Amino acid sequence: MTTPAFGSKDEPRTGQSSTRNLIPSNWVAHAALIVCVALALALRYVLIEFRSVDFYASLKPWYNAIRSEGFSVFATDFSTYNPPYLYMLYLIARFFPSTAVVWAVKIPALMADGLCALLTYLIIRQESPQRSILPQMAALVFLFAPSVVLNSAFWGQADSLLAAGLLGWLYFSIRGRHAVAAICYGVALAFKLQAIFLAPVLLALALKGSVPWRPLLSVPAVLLAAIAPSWLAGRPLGQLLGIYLHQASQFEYITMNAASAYAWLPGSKQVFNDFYQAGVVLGLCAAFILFVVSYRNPRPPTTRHLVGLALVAFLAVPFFLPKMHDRYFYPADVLAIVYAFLFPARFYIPLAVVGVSFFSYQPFLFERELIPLPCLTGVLLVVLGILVHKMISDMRPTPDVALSSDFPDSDVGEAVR
Amino acid sequence: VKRRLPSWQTVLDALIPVLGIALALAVRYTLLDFKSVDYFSYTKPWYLTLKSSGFAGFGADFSNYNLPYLYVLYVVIRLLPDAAPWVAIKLPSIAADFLAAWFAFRIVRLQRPHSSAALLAAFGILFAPTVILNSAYWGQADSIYACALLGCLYFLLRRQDFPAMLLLGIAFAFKAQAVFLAPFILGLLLRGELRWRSTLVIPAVYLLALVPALAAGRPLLDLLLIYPAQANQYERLTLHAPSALAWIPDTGRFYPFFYPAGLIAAATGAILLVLGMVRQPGKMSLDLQSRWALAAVVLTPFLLPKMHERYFYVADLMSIVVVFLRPRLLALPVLMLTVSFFAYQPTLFGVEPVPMSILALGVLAVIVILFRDIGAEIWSSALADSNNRAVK
Repeated sequence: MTTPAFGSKDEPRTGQSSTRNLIPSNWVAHAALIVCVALALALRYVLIEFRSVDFYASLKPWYNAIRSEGFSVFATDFSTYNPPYLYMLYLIARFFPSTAVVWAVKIPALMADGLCALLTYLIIRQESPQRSILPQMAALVFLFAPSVVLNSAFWGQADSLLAAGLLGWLYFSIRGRHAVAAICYGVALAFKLQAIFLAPVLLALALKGSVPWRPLLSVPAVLLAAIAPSWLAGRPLGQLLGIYLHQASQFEYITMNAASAYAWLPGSKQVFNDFYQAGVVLGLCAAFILFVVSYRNPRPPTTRHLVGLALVAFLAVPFFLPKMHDRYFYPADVLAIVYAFLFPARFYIPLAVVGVSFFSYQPFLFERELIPLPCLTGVLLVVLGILVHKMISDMRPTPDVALSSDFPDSDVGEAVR
Repeated sequence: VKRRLPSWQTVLDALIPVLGIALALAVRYTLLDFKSVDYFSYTKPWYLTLKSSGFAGFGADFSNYNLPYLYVLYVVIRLLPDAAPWVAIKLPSIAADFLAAWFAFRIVRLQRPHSSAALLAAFGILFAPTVILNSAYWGQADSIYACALLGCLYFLLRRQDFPAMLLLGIAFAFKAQAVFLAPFILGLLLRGELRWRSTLVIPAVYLLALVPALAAGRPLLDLLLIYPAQANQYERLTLHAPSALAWIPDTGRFYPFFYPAGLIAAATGAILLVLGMVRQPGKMSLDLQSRWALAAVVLTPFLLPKMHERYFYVADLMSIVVVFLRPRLLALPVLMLTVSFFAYQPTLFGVEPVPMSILALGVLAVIVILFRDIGAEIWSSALADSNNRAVK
């Protein structure tokens, strides 16, 4: 029997036959989950008043510009961000003008936190036995992951908007709704350039015919639609198209607290000048290898496989690219959580990935380096090695095997050997 | 009938515990003369107050501890009026060390009645570095509530609800940290493995413990506010505890954000722990219950703010008990005791050989190993359960 492609209706729900209706749903579980969601909100509430350096340097001036000048501000290059996040700020300033600035700039990302949690729940629900609480647990783990909580509620960054788009892409891909999935991906890309790390996988799957290629045309359409309001407000099209290019040339550091390969090099100007171009090529190499692996995969991709590929993409490409920020592994944090709920025996993957993100946030947020960045890079490299190894061994054409005894789907490839 | 002399075997069997106890006493004796900063600023003044003013001293607010510990001090003063104060204050804690070892012995005996594991567990506790340091060297009182908590666990494992709750009440009356076990107790209650009405013993014991001080003339409200006052004493995220908040800078800039965040995280952790217990199918084995108890006493102080270095004391003890019930978890006591030992160093010796943030990673490793072990068991028993149903 061949494994059906993801998105097809008859994909087996793993574990369903063996654990269906097993765990009784009861009021304790429901009450506990509701309280935990309330606590997740409370956690964000107590952190929201914090004002980071980024808040003073970027977010606050942008918001004030939007609030004082109205929509016409979009004709100018008052912000380095792509417009969609700024539109959200505009909506808040327009319809809720009394909102405190520190709340206003964080609300979009906080709402995206909720959306991400919902999508995580939906994704894991597709793959879990009925009436199990794994989907709810996955959403809770996301909501309480330290790097997730810090990123939006504390720091005021917008990476969860990107993650929401990516999870939307993942969910609708699994459901076989490829048109919606491509739009979600376009939205992710419109919020943050880092969504591009997934492009090699998408291209490979489309070229291979695992997913239809036509929906991918909506990605540029979404990007154009995202800049259209700014263009109408009077900003030159060339400038709008160049926002991401401008972002890429903004800072001249080989790594900005990211646990990437370049944390192993000195952070000097000399090193930057010598290795920047090599780094870009290395990043392209990583993307190319990922493309080849996705393209030559002999088995039709399953949900688990797709999540594994996306996770490796969001780890490997920023790992080898220069100029990465500490939070550029945010999509990897989120996908690692999803991954662990699909492969429970690999629970240590999100622990390591989220842990590395948390400790690499420290130099910027807390102005100290608890664990040296080169060590964090080492951890990430080990994780990457394990993931690639697992990915390749999961790809091997093997017959379907029963669940292993310890955990469901634990290292199916190993069980065969 | 001619009486047979006991064989060497029998004599040795009897001698081993005696020698072990003698050694445990000897090591404590050698450390008795140390006087810590806490001795000078807390226990010594309390001792002197009680000695000079007698029982009437309980009428005044001279100590930030709850009363039972002070009653014990009072009894020691009455019984041994000539003992040096730094020895007198350590005697109750040292006695509790041995009581804790006794309960560990009984717990392990429940599962392995015919092995020497129980004896080794008792020795494990008596010779654990943090146990020795805490009572005999430092003069802290953690072994008192900890031995009551071990006793509570022992009676819970024997399904004797009232003695268990009585000991829990005593533990809570001695130290508020007994609350770390609360998620485990709540889990048992919701599973129906512990009767709700038995928990009434806990407030009863707590209030009963206040009666002598009331009689001595201290106002009730004053007495009821002892624990809240303790909780408000320091505005610190962590006081040398290897907890998750060791990863956040302990400065005024971050305290207002991460103090409530820690409380919320701890509440969430406790709720999820209770949920895990409730969802565990089938009857819980003895060692599984012990593991859940250990999980509660590690996870709660790991997430709570304002923890002291010694708040993992019960976790130290329970990790020793658990390893004798489930030897594959050897890493737990090794990690836990090492971490606790190094966490004591800043306070006791004024040095920090291992940074607190690294020690916190050690506690995190304990939590991960423990929950991985429990989680695998939940899953495999769920599968076994479904297979049984399928057969029927």
